[in-house]
Amino acid sequence: MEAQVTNVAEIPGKPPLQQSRFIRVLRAVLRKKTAVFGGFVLGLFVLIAILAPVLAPHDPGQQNLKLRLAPPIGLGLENASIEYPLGNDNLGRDVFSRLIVGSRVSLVVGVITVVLTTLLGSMLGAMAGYYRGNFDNAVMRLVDIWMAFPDILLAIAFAAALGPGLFNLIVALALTNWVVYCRVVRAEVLVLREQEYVMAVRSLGGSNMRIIMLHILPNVLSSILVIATLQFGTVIVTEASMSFLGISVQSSVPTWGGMLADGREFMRQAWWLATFPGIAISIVVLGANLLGDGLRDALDPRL
Amino acid sequence: MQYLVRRLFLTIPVLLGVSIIIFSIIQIIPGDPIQYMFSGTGASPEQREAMRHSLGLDRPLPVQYINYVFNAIRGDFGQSIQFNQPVSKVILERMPATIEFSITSLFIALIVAFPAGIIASVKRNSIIDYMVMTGATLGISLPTFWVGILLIMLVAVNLHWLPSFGRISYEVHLERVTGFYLIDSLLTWNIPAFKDALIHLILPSLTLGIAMSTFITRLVRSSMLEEIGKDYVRTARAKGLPEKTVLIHHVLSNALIPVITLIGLKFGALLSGTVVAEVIFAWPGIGRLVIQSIYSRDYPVVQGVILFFTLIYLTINIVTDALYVLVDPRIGHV
Repeated sequence: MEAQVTNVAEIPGKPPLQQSRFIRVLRAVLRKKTAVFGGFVLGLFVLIAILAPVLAPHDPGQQNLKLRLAPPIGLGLENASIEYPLGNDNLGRDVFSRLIVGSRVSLVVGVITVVLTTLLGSMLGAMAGYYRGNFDNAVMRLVDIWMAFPDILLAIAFAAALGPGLFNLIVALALTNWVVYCRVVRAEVLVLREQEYVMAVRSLGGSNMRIIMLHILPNVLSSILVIATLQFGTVIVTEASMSFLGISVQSSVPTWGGMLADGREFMRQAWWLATFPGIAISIVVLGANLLGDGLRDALDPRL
Repeated sequence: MQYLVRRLFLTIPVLLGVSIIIFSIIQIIPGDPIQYMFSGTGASPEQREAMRHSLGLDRPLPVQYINYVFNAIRGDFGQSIQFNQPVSKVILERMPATIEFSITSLFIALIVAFPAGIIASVKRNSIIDYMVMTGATLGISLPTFWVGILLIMLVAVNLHWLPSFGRISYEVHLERVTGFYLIDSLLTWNIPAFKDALIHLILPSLTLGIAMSTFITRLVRSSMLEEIGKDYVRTARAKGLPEKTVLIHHVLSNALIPVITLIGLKFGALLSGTVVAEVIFAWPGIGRLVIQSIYSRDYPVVQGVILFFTLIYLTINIVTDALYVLVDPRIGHV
């Protein structure tokens, strides 16, 4: 919580200052054990998702009806086998392998959606805050309208309109989530545009685009980073909810939400089917939240 | 008052915007509702076109939209394809279920979050504080629908303590008055039905309530902490007021302002929670209705429900603003 960050008036664009600030922030984040833990969890998740084909002991789609609803090991239940540590689903597929491979959809959707929303929301927000006037008004009314939608319904409506598929799912989530970035960035830019250094660049003949891209946005970056980290978790939960409701990628691709939906059908006989995917989602989201909280404390105590 | 009236007028463009966006999204959705309506009926192309014409689906889109808005103002949101009833009737029938469910969830959230948040802030950095904050952080990371499934598995399937789906047992008879089962059962003095409806509410409300409480707890704590550090609190303590009076009358009443606003602003997200929770608990409300309608391409209902949710959200925001004015009289005069 110590105020490592002096304030926004710190002269931007100067490499030495930026670097030292980066190191200071990194130190502050590393000092928070929870944030380090969050970062570790997210790193592990990314690694598992990337290495999924190597790590998964079985083909996630391979059915084996002899092993139908076989329980996980360690509980002293019959039919448990060390080869299938988390048990098997209703089609005899390996839950452990499906869990590993299922992380890929979550990761891809989470990362790409966050990148897209960041770009879309921050650009709109920065331009609205910088140019003010009619453009600002139009963007802010759009934000008002977007805020009035229940998020998941909007995402579902977009997904239904675009049709199934990974890419369409990402577009639907991006179109739903850009508003947060837009609001925060606009609010910060409104302050930044009045700073003297901006006037200095302008008087040197810097174009508006140059000012926004090189001199204003870098100063908003810390806020964007905090929101993006926290949003990563939200997006993964929304994706899982949509997969759970069956409005997502094709059902042949294992997803955590889809596994939960399948497991729900068998919760009387096989509680593990609906338990493990939920634990996986919760751990990743917890990681994102802890890292996001840590970054917020280090970068911007006001947020 | 003037302020509230102005706020009321400001919601009209937002509603229009929402309706344009929803209308456009629905137009992009692949699949022809007429095709769906007549699938398997063997209707001739002429009959299909006649139906298309009678529903106005052959007119240019802007005309369709304007017709939609004018009809909506009169309370006519079109005809549901799957139920063959007016959309407004379909929605109004299911609305009390959703409202009853949201209110009980919010109630659970508040009775958990306020004491937890207040104690955590007063005993800052104590073990209790850490426990509350850890609980809140963990809770915020749990997907609502998974918590619901876990509760069903644990409490309903394994322990058989509570029912896991529906609003009331089949064998219990309840006369419909308002559609709010708790109120209806009391109005008709039907105590068994009241008990039955109440136990059906517990698991769904607990699921959504937990989700809401994590967020509200953090909010109450940080808002309390901010106020506790202020000068007037020191003054109040210095003049010898008992700590309880300082905390409740001074700190809490000021800390409430941001809490109320943010709960209002977050209500959209909370409403989203009802959609998934209603599906899990087979709760016959409008959240489950909208998902069913997407599956069966009943777009007039989808359109209607989303507009309806928006309307509730905007109303809540205005109510929040009104409360804001009540809590802090300075605001109304700005």
